[in-house]
Amino acid sequence: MTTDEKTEAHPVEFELNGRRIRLQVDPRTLLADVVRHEAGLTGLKIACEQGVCGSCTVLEDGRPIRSCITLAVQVDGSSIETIESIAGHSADLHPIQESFQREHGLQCGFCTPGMVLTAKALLAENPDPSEQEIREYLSGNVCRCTGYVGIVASVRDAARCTRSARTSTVGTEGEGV
Amino acid sequence: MVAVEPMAPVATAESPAPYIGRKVLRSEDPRFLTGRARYTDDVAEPVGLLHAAFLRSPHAHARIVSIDASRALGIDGVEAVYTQAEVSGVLGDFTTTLPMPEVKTITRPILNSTRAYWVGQPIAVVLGTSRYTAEDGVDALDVEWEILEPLMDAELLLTDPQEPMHDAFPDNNFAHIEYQMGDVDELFAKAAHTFSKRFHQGRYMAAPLEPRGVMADFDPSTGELTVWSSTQVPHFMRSLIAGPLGIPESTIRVIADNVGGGFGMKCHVFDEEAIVPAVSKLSGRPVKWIEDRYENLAASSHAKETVCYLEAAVDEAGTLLALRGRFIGIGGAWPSHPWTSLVDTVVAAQHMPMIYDLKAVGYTVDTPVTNRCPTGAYRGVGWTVVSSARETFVDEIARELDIDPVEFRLRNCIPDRPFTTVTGQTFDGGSYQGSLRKVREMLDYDAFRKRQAELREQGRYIGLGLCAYVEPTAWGSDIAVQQGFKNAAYFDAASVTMEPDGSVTVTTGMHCHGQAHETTLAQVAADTIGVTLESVRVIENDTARAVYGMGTWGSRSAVIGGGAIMRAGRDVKANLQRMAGRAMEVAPEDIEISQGVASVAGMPSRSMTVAEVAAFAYYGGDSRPDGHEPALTATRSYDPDPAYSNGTFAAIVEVDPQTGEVTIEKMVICEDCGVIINPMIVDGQIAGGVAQGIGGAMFEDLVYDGGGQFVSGSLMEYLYPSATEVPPMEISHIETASPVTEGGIKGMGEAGALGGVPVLNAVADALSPFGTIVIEKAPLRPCDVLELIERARAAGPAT
Amino acid sequence: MKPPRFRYVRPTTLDEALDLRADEDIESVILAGGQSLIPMMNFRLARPELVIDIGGIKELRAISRTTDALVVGAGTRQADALIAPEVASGAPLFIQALRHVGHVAIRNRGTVGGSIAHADPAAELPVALLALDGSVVAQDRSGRRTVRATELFETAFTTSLRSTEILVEVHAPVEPRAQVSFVEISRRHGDFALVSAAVSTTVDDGRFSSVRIALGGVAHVPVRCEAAEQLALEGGPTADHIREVARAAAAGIDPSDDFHATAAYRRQVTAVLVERAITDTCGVLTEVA
Repeated sequence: MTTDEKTEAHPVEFELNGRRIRLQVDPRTLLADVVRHEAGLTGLKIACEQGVCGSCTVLEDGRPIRSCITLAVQVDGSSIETIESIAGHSADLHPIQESFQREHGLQCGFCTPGMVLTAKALLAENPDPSEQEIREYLSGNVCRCTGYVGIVASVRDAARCTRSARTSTVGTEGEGV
Repeated sequence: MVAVEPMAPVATAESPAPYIGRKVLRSEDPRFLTGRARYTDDVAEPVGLLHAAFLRSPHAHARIVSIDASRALGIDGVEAVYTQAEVSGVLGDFTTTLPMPEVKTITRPILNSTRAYWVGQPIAVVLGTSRYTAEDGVDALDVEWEILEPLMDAELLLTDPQEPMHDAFPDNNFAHIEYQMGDVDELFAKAAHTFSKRFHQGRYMAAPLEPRGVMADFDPSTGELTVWSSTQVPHFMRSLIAGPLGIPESTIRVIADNVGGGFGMKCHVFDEEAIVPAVSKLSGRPVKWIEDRYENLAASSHAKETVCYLEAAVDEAGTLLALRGRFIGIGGAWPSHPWTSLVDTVVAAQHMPMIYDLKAVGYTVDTPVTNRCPTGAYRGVGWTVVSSARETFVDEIARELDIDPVEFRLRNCIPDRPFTTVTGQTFDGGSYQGSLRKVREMLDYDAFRKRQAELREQGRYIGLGLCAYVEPTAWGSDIAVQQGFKNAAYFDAASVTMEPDGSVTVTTGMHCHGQAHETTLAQVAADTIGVTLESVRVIENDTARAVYGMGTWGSRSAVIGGGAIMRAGRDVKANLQRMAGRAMEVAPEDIEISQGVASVAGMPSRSMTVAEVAAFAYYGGDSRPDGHEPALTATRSYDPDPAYSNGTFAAIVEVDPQTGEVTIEKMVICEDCGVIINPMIVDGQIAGGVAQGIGGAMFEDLVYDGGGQFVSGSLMEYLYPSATEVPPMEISHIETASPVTEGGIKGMGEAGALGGVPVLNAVADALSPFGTIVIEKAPLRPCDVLELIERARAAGPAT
Repeated sequence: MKPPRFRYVRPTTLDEALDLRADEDIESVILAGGQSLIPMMNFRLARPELVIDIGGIKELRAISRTTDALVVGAGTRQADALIAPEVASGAPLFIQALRHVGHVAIRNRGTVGGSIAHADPAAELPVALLALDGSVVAQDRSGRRTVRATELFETAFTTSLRSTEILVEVHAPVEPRAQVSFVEISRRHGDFALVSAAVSTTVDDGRFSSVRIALGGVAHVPVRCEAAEQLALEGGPTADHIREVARAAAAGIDPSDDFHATAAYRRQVTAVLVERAITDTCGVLTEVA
């Protein structure tokens, strides 16, 4: 990061994938750069730095935001979730990730972390989205490889799997997506 | 997505071999899905890393009088500023040409700090302790520019050449090429109908989601250079930077481990890929430059922009006799390295015939230089351009002659067998007519026309458009010549090794940036040798780990990579059979290998696992055959005969005639790429290409104003289609095996980029009740659509 | 594309923020959601000396509704406003407009006040505010003042707010009998509008008793179509009259060409959109052109 006597480092404290982190950052530092370079979580990608493409999506308190047009200091007190956390620490995939593999929801993989996180937020809001609802919710996440066909199919598949999992685990401690 | 004959039913990965032809899920997916894939900007940074930012020209044409770096160097965190004066000590020139007499040659410094030829050209490089400070340094450079008049009007330059921009191009034209086959003039003279059109394909680009990026680490103590680059061509890049850097290829390692899309853009070798290593050498520090989106839009490589003039001669019966074409590529300030701006123009011209059975073709090609970003390869080089022009032309002719567009195409289509075009392309057989018929059936064509008529009564305008194509694939030496790249030589190589434990390592010189080589090439290797898919590991994307090759572009990897693997895999298998035969005391030809088990033909109980055979081969001592080479490895190369895929795209759209808004209802597609390795991957390549084609037809435009200023420098102007603009797609397949390639495989992956062409035609079809609709440009914005209606109304009703 | 250096403060109370804002010698900007400001800083088109982040000021995030007025705290995130029952019942036009603002992730950080204060001539919320005859409350250390939407937008990206002020509230009158509609044309879903039209109409005894028409994307500021509104009051919700009004709205603007659309196009579709929006508010079936 930068050091400069003119700009004092500013403290920021937030939760990142369930762990509290405290940093002193140059206030101009983008959240994306802090997560990638300070925390070493390079899953989120930087591809436009103008909030258009969605590659840098992270979840702030469960809601998708653009980490490339958010300063790290702005998320003070928030809870940030990145792609690295959603499958837990095992080699297993989250059901949404499994759906993306099953339905060919990715090619080069660069948009994929943002897509998966956005899909996760969508299904948390709306467990049974229509194709049009999926397309609209994902319309802020650009994919240059798939033409979205596989992505839409993946999200539909994930919704289906999640609903059937919920039905079959009624009475147990069901974890939402 | 539907998969129609003859692939049904699609077997899943759990069932046994053969793997080729099955929907095998991608083995590489987990690392991408979990965020663990490391792209260039994600690679662990070497100690002492500096970050580079470029000063880029804000002017289209200027002389640089002076660059004062003193303010920049005074900024805390700015470590160095380099211009051509310093860099030229460690970096030479790029010489760009093609081995054809019509083509000129330019040699230019890789970093030019004295003259700017286009907005975005690198002028100087600043190294800082972070990208932030490096950009602060660029901000603080004091540059004195002497503004020069830019050359922007390419067509005008051909008649009024102006002062040469470069000494190498006295007429400001990189190449002028003429071609004629058959008696074009006579056919036009006696034709019952002649037609003509001008079509201006706009400038658009691959704009992969991962921008370019280069990290270089030069070690002065060993002379070794390691370069991480987001490239599609790691070996090829190494070959092309070694000379200017004066470092032997054997001492350079290029790593392009995970690449976030390329689409042809990253098969060039860019100036920055040589400059970043050079400044690592100069500074003695590792250096990283990650391209930002502005740089990507303004200064990587543009594509496609061509003004096409077409003329057609048609006889009384509606038979297309001959085409004339004039292709003017709106080139940049110099040809992209090394492919040049001819990738669009010459290839466009050569592909005038495609499915049409023409008796004669004549064309001219020009590629004037203008003060714009250089143009180069992007998915479907050239042939998507000519398809936009020709297929809209064909529909316009059919409407004029009152012939149904499907019927018109079928009437003029070559037969479904091998065919040589008047431009010398040797099609290896396909479903040229079959795919058209298939799409007509999938569309329920007559029902669509009925619905269209009913909706028109209600004041709604839906339309249907088509694009039939033949796709050049597997860019080897012969097919390159057939695309107009004369005297070209291309091949690729693969190594196949069975390790002592029976697992298999495959390396190729191809490059994967989304095409799933780790899965599909493993399918090929597993079937070739007779091992399980899980036992095969495919390694590419690193010159130190994989055999030499030319990378992935031009739909080459399935055919050339797959074919080279088949050849090497068969050598390994033969060696295995010799070993197993010796171990089980039968003749090698009596050994069958399947699913990792070598058994004696007709005696399945007599068998060994390949692991046992491999252990025997490597460590079996004296009991091995005499003269045997222990290592179960082979490296083979492959330069295939030309293989052409084909297919038909259709789009259904609705146009709001009051606002010009176009809604694409769906795409219907039938493609034929010969023997399919993995239908899921094929469908994905098509769908992705279609989205990019829709971009070029409706949304994506790289615009310069008359003064050469670049207008499309952000994603507020350059519009990627999103999930709401790209429609659902129905895809079917026909498999006409190639008689000329290993395994009958043809390449694929680019034709999807034609997906915008049927959209243009569907818009015209929807609006045909308003009068004569002629599509003269792409992309079509809503305001352009309204203009089409106004022009049609003004011209009176359609004949 | 990284922001230039700036000084940053994140006050937790409005008073603190106003104190910082009061120093006119320092060029400060207000950072709310940042969804417009930070891209501009990344492009280094904005180079503020001091960034005052009001994201930590809770008092700016309240939403309340009385019988007469809806009050939305300027710091309310667009996503929160979109699901707020007070907004849905008090100013449904805002809901319609908010659906067109960017994409989900933008609305999750972008604020209602930020979008209005940014004054992008193609943005949706300023147009909706104009059509609602709404206002904003601007505050500095000397106190609060109300600025009507019609007096707020001076030119592209410039409002009449003073450099010492902070936009703290957005007000919209509650008009239970008014019918509203927001329509727009954009190149893609979620893009800024090529043209947007927001309309509020009230019909009494078969005649329009109140009509407000606002347009975005057709000038350097969002505009009200006063001549067309006057014309509307001379008739009722018939297809012919609505078309006349729409034509008058289009005749009253002087749009310009840009990258995405020609001036002629903007004028042409302004008539279409105004007609559609008014028609939408009064349930008239228009015949097809």
